[in-house]
Order: sequence, then C-alpha cells, then structure tokens
Amino acid sequence: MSAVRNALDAHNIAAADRQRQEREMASAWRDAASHVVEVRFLEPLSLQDREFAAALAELDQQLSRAINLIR
Amino acid sequence: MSGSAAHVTPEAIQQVARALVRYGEAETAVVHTADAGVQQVADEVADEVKARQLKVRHADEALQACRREEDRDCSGLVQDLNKAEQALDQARQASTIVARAAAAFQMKRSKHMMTVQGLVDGGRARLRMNATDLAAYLGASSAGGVDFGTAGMGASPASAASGLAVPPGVPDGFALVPLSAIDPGDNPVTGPADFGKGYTAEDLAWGIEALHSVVLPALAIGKGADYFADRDAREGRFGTRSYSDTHSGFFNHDAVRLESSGDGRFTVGNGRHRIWVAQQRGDSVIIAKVS
Repeated sequence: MSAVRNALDAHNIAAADRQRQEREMASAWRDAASHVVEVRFLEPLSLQDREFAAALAELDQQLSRAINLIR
Repeated sequence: MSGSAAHVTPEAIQQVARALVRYGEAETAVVHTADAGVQQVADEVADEVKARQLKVRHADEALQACRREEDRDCSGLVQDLNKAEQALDQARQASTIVARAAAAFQMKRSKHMMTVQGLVDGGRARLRMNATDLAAYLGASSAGGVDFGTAGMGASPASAASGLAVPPGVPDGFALVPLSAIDPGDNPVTGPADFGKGYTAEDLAWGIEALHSVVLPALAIGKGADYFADRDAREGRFGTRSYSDTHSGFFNHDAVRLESSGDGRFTVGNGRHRIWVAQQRGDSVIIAKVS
C-alpha cells in the first residue's frame, strides 16, 4: 500500500472519529449553542474532509500511474 | 431545536473538543505522510531517470563503437538504443506526472491545513465558551478545570468573542465564515454574466485559490504587502491575477464584509461576487471582515 493511500485511510479514520463525537454531541446536546458549533465549525469541516479525501485519492492515482510507467 | 442544555455536561462538551484536537493532530500526520509519499515516488522516479539516461549513453557509445568497425552488423545495438530511449521517455513522462500531481496537491494541501487549523481552533474556543456557560448554569465552579487541549494544528488563535475561526496573521476583525451561515438574501449574482466590474468569475476563482495557497500561508508567517509585490514581480503577475491584488482585495477597503445577525447567521455587506464564486468552487468557508 502506498504512503498516500495510507494517508487517505488515516484521514478517513480521523474524520470518522470526529464525526462519531459529533453524532454523540447531537444526541445529547440540542440547543442553539450546539447549532452554532455545528453550522460554523463541524459542517464546514465535513465539507473540507470530503474535498481533501478527493485530493488524496487523485494524488494516489497519479503517483500510481507514474510508478507503473517505470516498472 | 428541541431539548435542553441540561442534558449535557461540561465534560460532554469537552469530549467533542478533544475529538477536534485529535482530529487536528491526525490531519497534521496525514499531511506529513502524504508529503513523504510524494517525496518517495519523486525520488524513485528521479533515480530511474538518471539510471535510464546512463543506459542510453552506454547504448549510444556501444553503437558508435560498432559503427567504427567496418562490416559489423550493428542492428542489434540500434534496437538496444531505441529501447533504452523509449524507457527513458517513459521515466521522463513519469517525472512530469509526479511534478504536476505534487503541484496540484500542494495547493489543496495548503487550503486544507489552513481551513482545518482555523475551524479546529475556532471550534475549540467556541466549545470552551459553551462549557464555561454551562458550568456556570449548573452551579459548578467553572469549566476552567476542563482540558480543551492546546495542541491543535498551530498557533492560530480563534476569536473567542465571535466564536469564528481566525487564521494567524490576518488583520483584526477578519475571520473564516462558513458559507452555509451566510444568508443569500436577494443576491443579484446568479452566474458568470453578472460579472462586469473589470474581472471575471475565473479571475475571482484564481484569487480565492491564491488566497488559500499563497496569501494566508504567507500572512501566517508574518509576510506582508512587500512580499506579495516581490513575488508578483518574480512570477510576472499583475492586475486581477496577482498576489498583491488578492491580498489588498481581501483585506483592504474592498474586503468581503459580513454582519452578524446574532443567531449564528450573517448578512452580506460586500463581496457577493466572491461569495458566489466560493460557493461554485465548493468551498466551506470565506475570509471576511465581520461586524
């Protein structure tokens, strides 16, 4: 497995860990304050997670293509 | 929203804050792993280019030596040279692919680190406020004993007053505002045809990319207008697609300006074109002067 693929897996694990805590927060804490945290910080982080996962996947694909050319 | 804050404790909020800190640390490691992966492949490809250049040279020398001998059949050596040249071409293609992939990733990496840093630090500060408020409500001494972590992803302070993330080095009053928290209102900008002030939607998209990949990282390490002017001169950039214009456009009188409605939402005072472009890019946040 390539280092970039490892990075992508680690990124997905970190994002899932954070999202699990967010779900727990959502089940125990539903008020205006939690809404602000969700809207301002957690939702933008989820969007950024997806964008970065796509960037890592694209990088891994391109590096694999390069490796295949020299092997 | 339903329910009550009485069901949550400062410790429960602390857990979310800790998860944010863990996430920030994990993402730093992720980026380092990815960087190492790129470097490893780049080194491997570079070594292969060198090795194949050597093979081409040796094949060429063998062919030239053969041709100096009368009546010798050199066709096998010609084939060897052709093969070696093809192999070298492939290694050079690989090198180009790695360089392009690394450059493309570098921009996305910078944006990711900057966005995550701001949001993690801002989120943590906000949660600290919530825990303090809740502890006071519950009659506890304070949330001061609650550990919200200090590692984060860097030295970026968050604006405790606004609860918004503030990238390091930006002028006072600026913060990263989630696009989802901005009220669209009666936005007259609905498409590229609505851009007519001397710049196009593509120009603004370039500026936003430059903001995340160059301007914000430079501000974070203490650079200023002189640095951007110098970089523009070295790279032959001017006008709408320059770092100087991007810096002044986002942080001077023409900055994106947002007004807080007090309920976590924001209305737009200036910058509807940039907000529209950021939305089209799929960005999660925009830097704005918040009042």
